[in-house]
Amino acid sequence: MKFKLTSLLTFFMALVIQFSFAQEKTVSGTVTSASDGMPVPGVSVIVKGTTRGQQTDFDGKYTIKVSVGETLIFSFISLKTTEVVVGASNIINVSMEEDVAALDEVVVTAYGVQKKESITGSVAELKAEEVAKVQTSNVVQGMTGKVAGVQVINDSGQPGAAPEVRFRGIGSINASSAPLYVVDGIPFQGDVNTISNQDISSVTFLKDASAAALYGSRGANGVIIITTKKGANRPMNVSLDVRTGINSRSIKEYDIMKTPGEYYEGMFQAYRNNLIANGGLSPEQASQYAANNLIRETDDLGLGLEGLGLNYNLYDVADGQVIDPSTGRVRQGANLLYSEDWNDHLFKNQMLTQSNLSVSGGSENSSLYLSLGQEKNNGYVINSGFERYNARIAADTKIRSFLELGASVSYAHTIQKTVDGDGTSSYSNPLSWARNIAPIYPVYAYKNGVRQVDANGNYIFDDGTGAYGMPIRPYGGLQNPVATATLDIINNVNDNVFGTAYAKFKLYEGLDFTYNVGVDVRNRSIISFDTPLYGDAKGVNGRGENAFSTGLNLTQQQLLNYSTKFGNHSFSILLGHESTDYTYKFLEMQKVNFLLPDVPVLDFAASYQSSRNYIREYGIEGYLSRVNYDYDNKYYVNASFRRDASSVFHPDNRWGNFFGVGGAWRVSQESFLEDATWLTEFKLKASYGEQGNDAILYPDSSTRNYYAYRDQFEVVPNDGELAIQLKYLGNPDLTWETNANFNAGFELGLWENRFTLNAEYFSREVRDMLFNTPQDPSLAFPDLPENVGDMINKGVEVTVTGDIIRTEDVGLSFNINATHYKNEITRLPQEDLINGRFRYNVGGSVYDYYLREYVGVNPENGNAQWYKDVLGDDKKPTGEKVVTEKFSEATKYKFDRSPIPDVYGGFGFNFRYQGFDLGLDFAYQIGGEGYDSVYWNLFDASGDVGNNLHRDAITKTWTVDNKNAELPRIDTNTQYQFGSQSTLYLVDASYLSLQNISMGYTFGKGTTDALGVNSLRIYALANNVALWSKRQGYDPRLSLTGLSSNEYSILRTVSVGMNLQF
Amino acid sequence: MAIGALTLSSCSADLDTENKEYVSRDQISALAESSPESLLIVTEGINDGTNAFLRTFSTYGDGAHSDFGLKAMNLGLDLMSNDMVMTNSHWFSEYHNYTGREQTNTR
Repeated sequence: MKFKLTSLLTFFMALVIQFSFAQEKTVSGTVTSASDGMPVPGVSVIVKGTTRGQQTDFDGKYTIKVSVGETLIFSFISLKTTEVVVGASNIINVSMEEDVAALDEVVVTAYGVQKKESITGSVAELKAEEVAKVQTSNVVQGMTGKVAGVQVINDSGQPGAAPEVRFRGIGSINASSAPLYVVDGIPFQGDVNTISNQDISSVTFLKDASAAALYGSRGANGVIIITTKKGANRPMNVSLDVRTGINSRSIKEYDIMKTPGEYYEGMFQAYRNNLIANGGLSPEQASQYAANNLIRETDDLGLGLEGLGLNYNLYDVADGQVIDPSTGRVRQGANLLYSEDWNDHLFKNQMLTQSNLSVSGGSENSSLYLSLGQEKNNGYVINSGFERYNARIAADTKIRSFLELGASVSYAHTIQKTVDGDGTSSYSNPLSWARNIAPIYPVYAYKNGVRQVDANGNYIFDDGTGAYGMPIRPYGGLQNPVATATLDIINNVNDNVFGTAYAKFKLYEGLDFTYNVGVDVRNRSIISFDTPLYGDAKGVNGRGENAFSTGLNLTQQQLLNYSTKFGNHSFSILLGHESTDYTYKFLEMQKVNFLLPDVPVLDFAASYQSSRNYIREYGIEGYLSRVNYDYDNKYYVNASFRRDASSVFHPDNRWGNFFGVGGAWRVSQESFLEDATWLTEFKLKASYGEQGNDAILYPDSSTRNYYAYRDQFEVVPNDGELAIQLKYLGNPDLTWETNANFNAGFELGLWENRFTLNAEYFSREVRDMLFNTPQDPSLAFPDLPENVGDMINKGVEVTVTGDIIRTEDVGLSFNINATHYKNEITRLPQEDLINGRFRYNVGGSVYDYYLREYVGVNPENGNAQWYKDVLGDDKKPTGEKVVTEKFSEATKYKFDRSPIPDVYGGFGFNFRYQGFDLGLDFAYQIGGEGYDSVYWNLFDASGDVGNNLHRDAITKTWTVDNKNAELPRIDTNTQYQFGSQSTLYLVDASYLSLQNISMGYTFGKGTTDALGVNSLRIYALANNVALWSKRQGYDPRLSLTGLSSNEYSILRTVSVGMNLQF
Repeated sequence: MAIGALTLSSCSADLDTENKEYVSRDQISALAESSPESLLIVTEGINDGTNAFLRTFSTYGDGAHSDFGLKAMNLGLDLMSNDMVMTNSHWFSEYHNYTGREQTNTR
């Protein structure tokens, strides 16, 4: 209302003034956008050749004094500048068209911004609108399939968990392959989940050396730059975004046995198979014996064989009567007393709420951005989730013509409740338990088919120890994950303050000096409390661990920028210095024997167990420079150089030189293509550069080794005496691992960029790989860090976008990206190295499988078969191989098969009709073979008694009655029938997933005016909607190597929300 | 103000970091050379450390329950002797079945 009043006043004032200047008149009008007809505020309206000017107000209205014959110039970022000659009319309404070429004009790159057309390297950017659709607590979690060349793998669906990101293949073997995160220009050590998605204005991916070389030492594995929102020169705008939704698991469980009956029948078969194969019984005898001894040992036939001991009989018949030996089925007329599904008790579709309030705006010289956010995501496993409360303020001001100051501070308080043993096969892991425990074991203790209650009226959990009159459960004694997930306390609380400040001095025309400081403080407190009532810690009356850590990362940058232009030559030069100090302090103590079962305070506990306290320090210092040159917007050169030192290496080998050079030629700007109006953009580009990686990890660990050049000893507890052990060998000769990146490609834009194609070839060679070389076992120090080994990743990536329909009312667009790469080891310290199920050889990839070769099943006895080498007289393989039924004799072979996909990427569609919009995003992977250990573990009846079975374990396996079955017999005693590390475990890892559906309606001007707001949008979002993969339950997205494990399933979140701006 | 003070105090990174998690050989040597008593602490400490290693849990680092030093190996060797029966596929079955033959692989 206020704006309207002002404009009205101006209008009257102008009317008054008109009388005094006869030749001048007042022109007014409204500026609208041609694409959507909405008024455009902030358009500058200038009388040509004068300094007289106005800006349009919030309703796109302007009023200006002009004389007839003068020209008005209307200009606005991203709209085509329009000129109108003033005629007789006093009203000039202007409809401004979008300047498509200028739309994506500026992209955030290393240490600054760059015009998109001037980039010679490989850079991809996701804007705020894309980011706002992401619902995951860690923004990168939601980016699978969005960017060509960038693989985003969610190791766990745990809310707030950080994903693994791989740029263009695999960066290293024993050093980290994780990219560098940069937030607002400062290399970031914190957790991305502390940044609210709504505060992000763009996420940039720097994929090649020309783009990332300025991050020299840390850019080798790619760089992700997250830029947060700032105020701008416009009236204060308040934006409120609120959404609420519901989580569920996004993929179905494996087709495991769900009812007690089918499990009894399955185990009857496995037991009977054993009695025939290993006990020498006839099928009839075996049936009788198996039925009699399935639940408890009776040995009524006097054969002296072991009973199976499932121990729990859920039917109202005697233990030996549950299975009818003549049919192998549950006896007719037997009634189930009770049955419980653990899934019902461990998993629940829980809520998600996210809300964000921001205020932004400013004037010509100052701008302000304020935001407050809240998020609560309860996942779908009971007592797990993620909560965040965050606040952010960013202010920028130009206090003098030569001095600009700005600062931003963000604070985030996050609480993550994790699942015990997520991803492991530990009994306390609810995910593992729910699929692996047989459906005959109940959650609660029963008596005569009725749940038992304690003195307080609460149901009593069955912990398998035989308490409360229950039988002893052979599976996971002492454990009850429903009880422990409910009563354990696992809390990970983070307080993160991230502040940046800068001062920018204008020293001379075109010459600026900027001083940047970034401080990242992260305090973390982790409580891990195992309840004294059930589970592991029952015997010690509760076990509590409290850990506190502080991470302080201080970065300083001094940057000197100079840009100049003479004739058609433009230069922009950057010189800079950057230093980073990182300190991480950790303190932890563990005690047992707690007074109260629900207060995890260590002072309430009696017995000290252990403590840890250490400090890690890391420093990095670099000098950097860059020259960007362009000639007539046609030819571009970006060259950068950085010299870096890292505290990880010995002072003599500390410094490394890194560089990147790129060139681009915009063919479309050439005069000979002037007539080709359909060709908007055609750019050829190529770059080469070398970057470094110092992130060597401790052997067989994901922890960084910050002191790799020194021998490191551990002081171990030894009855109060000092005991010193050599823990890690150091190597003073260790130095940078180098990534040599080559990138060549082209960008094509047709019909005002309605169709774009970006294709690139890349080769990423890793030289002097940081490697923990295995030493002779007799040395007792297994690994020595060295620079040995080379590896190369070669590939292509393609991104295509198209606007099929682009009118005022209707829009339809699509995007597709695809990446293919091949990884090859080119040099190794030893001829070959074995790492679990992989084997490294020159010429092979990092993930080439090394496994026993599964042959099939012996139709005579149902035994599994593998190949083994035939040995000659010299005990060396002759090259021939024969079939063996002994797992331990089977030879392991290296295969030309790996989990690396042939092609991966994503595609999406966006559709709009008037105010309504719809978007669909897919991700896919073609080729690659995963390793599904979870599935095959559900066939192994020889492991824990009481381990559940997959339904295929009955229908597809060999029995004396079904000798043509495709799979070996299940057997309670023969180990390795479904033995691991064999090719049987490989499974096609191709998938297609519907990642997001977004739907929204933006209200028209009529409604928003009536409500007195600027804009109003309501929307619905659904993430991880569907997955099509080879096998039900198997999710290839959860691991880089396609390994299945018992991890938190990726969440499906369906939510509705509203965005209001006023 | 605090940030201002911070920036003035240091402009370059500290690259000569001290070990404060696992003690470095230099630190131990310096201690050993400082006095005869300290030398005794070091020699005895290393001696004790070697002994303690024989009963250290998870020497390989992955927390396997079949990895608790010398006694685990004794048990494993017994299981390989064919005198012991192991019907269940669980920890130590890699010894019993002769499948744990590679440095980086147990089962």
